[in-house]
Amino acid sequence: MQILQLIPTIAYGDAVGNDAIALKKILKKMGYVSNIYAESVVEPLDSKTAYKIDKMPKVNEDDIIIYHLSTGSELNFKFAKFKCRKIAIYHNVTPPEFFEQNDEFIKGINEWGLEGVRFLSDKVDYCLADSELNKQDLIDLNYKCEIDVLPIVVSFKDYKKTPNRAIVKKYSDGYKNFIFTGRIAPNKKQEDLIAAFYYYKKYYNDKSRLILVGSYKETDLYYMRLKKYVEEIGVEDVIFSGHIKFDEILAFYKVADVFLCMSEHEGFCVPLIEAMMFEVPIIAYNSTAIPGTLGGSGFLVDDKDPIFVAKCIDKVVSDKELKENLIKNQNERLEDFKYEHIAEQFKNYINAFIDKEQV
Amino acid sequence: MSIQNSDIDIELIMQEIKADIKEKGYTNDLLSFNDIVVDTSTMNVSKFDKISFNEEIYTVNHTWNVQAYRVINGSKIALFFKKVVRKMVYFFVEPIVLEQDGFNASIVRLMNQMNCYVDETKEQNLALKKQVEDLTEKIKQFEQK
Repeated sequence: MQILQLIPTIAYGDAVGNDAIALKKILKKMGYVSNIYAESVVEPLDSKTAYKIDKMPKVNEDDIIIYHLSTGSELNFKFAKFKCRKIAIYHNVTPPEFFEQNDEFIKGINEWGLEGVRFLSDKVDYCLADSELNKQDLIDLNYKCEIDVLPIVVSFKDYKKTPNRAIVKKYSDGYKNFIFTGRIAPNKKQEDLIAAFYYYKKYYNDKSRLILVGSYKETDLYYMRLKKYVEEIGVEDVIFSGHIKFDEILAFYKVADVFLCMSEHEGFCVPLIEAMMFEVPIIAYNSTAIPGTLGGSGFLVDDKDPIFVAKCIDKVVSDKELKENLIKNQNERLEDFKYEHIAEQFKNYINAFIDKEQV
Repeated sequence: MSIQNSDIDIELIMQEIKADIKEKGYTNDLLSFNDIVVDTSTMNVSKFDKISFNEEIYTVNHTWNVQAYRVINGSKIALFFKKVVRKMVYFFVEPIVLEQDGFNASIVRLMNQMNCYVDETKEQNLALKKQVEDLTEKIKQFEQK
């Protein structure tokens, strides 16, 4: 029996792609033949990590395909046609309305993605969801099969690598560094971070910077609007990192004083886990899967008023006891996401699915 | 598992912060992001970015083939009229779409060729750079002799 993974696109640094790669390793350790097949393997990932879908072997009825469902693709519809046992891992599709004013193409892709999720509702045998929110989404979309929650697998080992020295040196200059990690996208609400940072600089500490770590396209309308917003309000020290190497991401966490997240739609939010690993106190807006991932840790705010958020940042930065308590709670929460723990959970779910199907 | 913030009362801290802001009289008069409009008539790119290039290549490879035929929805009567309209315009629309698809396919092939060219040139450049470094090192050694 083979357990294959199918994914529309696999790209370097992408959370869904990383999850697939981590699951492949776990499946191999479990003794299964397991490879990843994708419609598109984006460089710099090589053909050893994932194969193009035309290289996919024939599947038998007792084989299992795990499909990563997160975007609009032909595969969402083709997946139903495979004559084997089917598991979908739902990573969530960003609601298209976020892209209304910014990107008609992405809006269309996400609408198509949701159509695909709906289409598969009665065509899969079992589902895994990254979070309770994703599970609830599937239930709302009429999924009747069994659904379990399995957080995204994060390889803690990778984060022990040495952070980029040049970046650590450059930004360890006495300034307070606030970071957010995630591609530049309208649902992540980077404009709210900029507005809060504007007031923090104005009222509390001018020697500070906001680092928006994440990829963008120069021609992306939302990115262009953010750049213009920074110019128009006249706030300095807002840095857009663009797509950077992994050791550079690690360096930004290393120099960060606060991890700030104002995102209004997250299916899980891996950067929260990353911030926990680097013991960076988290301030996050209470939306979608964020409270679930924080699990009671972090500083969860219920208001997006930029003056209020700015004061919250100041409080975390200046109140040593509060900061220590936040980090202590985050460390406790991090235990739940340890690789061994999630890998064990995944193994149990897969074994239970196989046993149940055989009965 | 959920952590109990036993040592911290976030709710209380937030209330204190809100009271403090009220007392100081801070108000948000910042320009709204919704008022930010950018001119999209130009699609300037100031530097080459291979990751963005790959993403665009992926997008064009998946979207070049536009279909003239559209699946239509609606009530029985609306469906009937829409089908009539579709049939009436199809003879006119289809050749235009096919022509556009032919053009799109050429552009996508061209971009894929460019992608190969970029990769090949990158490899050649790296090899040449290495060669220059080796030769510079050899010259240095000769000069020291």
